[in-house]
Amino acid sequence: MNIFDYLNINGHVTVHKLYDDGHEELVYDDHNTIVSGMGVGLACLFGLSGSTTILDYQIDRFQIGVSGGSALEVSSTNSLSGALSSLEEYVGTDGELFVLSAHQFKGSFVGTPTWYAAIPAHNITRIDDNSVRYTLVVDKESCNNLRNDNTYVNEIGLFMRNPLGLNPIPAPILVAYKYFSSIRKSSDFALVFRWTINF
Amino acid sequence: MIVDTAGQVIVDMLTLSPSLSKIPSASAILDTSNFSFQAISYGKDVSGFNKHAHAVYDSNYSAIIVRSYESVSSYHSSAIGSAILRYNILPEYPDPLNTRLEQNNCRTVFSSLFSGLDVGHCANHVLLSSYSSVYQTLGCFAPSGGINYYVLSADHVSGSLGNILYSGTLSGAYNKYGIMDSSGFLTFAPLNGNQGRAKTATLEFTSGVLINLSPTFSSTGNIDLVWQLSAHDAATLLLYGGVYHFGLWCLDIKQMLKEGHKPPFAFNPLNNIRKYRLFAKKTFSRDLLYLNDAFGASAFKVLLEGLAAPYIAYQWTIRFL
Repeated sequence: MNIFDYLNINGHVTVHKLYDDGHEELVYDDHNTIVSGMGVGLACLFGLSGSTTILDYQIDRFQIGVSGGSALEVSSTNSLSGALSSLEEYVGTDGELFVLSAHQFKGSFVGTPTWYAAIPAHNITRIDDNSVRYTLVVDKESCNNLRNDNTYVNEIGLFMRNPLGLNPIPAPILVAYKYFSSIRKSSDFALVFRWTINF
Repeated sequence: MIVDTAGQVIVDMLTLSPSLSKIPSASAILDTSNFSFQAISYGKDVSGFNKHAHAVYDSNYSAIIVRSYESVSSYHSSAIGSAILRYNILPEYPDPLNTRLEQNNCRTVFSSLFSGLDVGHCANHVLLSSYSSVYQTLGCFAPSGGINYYVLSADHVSGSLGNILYSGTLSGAYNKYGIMDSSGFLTFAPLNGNQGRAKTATLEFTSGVLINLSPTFSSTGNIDLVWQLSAHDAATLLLYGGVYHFGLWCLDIKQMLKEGHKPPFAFNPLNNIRKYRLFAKKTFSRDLLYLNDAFGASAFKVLLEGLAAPYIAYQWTIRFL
């Protein structure tokens, strides 16, 4: 048995549409998949073989993608299938997401730079002794400028910042993944993901 | 078993404020070592803390005195247990909610004269000056300078050792090297050079438990924790009732900060400010130090003198993948 079996590490995601009038519509509610990257990160932490600062083991960013699938909801998944690949796709001209570029560790190699959306520290909440909630807000103006009109967001992943302590090129690693029913993002609403992980 | 408090350590780490990095006096809290493994402890059944060598005190002798109920010249804690009326050795079963190795009171109480620490596992009373005249009863580790032991064939009578089955002197390695505090926490070796990739050469165990990552670590995610129990420390633990639990501990950062301590939280065996939080425990239904007499040789003597190496090496693997 490994640490995941003992602690029963699991997570849960809800997706909400948030409208200007404050109305919130729940559009998705399901468990998530903790992927092997979480084990890699924790092994680096407890084996003292990775970064020397705890900040590099924190989950501080996420990606949204457009070609997810249930086949990816397995522990071996190490990247989104179709992560948004440009600044324009994430924020267009008026989006408020804080977007940053970095490489990505994908199982055995470091991939080329890709885009992430940052999770503000105030959106990371301890909700009890063994649970942490990440509130990911994709504002009205973000993620609207996708590849074409028939493109829908349908996958999301959480990333640990740089557990391997790679320097000078840090490489975030995917730790949790979720495929959800397709949503055509528009400026009519913001998307709010409430993602809780229990340890 | 990985216990629930391990999850709390991880959530502590995930929710630590990044803004601490901008405060010079607080940024050391962000060091990885504050959240990694920091101690190992030895435990036994809760009743054992008032049996075995814990049950004998004689102000005439500063020695470990214990009665063996066996005719053989070993000391079997389980056999002794069954020979003592209404004493069944039963270490507490592991539970995810455990916060220490034994949840019930593990304090050694010798009549109304004195009582020891209650830390849930085997403490190291010899380091505390307040116990300087009674540590031989409270245990559970020998001083570096040595202490005599006497294993008797009949109940002890104050002022007289009576019929001695075997005796000798025990010198504790943990206290010699200053790697265990008074609460019985065996510290991890400080890092030097390659993080986590400590060598397993014999001499390096004198600085504590080592994290020994195998070459396949990146694919297996297995972390091997390795440490030694010297023959004399093993014999001492045996006379106090054996070893039925191992505990693996991380630091309790919140508690230390609450008490006003600031990082780095250095280990000091004589005045250890460190507070620990249980990460995992391993419980055994049989004494890990169980040895039988064989071919006419005393198992106890074999433990002290006949081992190929003067220590027992333990390895505990934690799997992350």
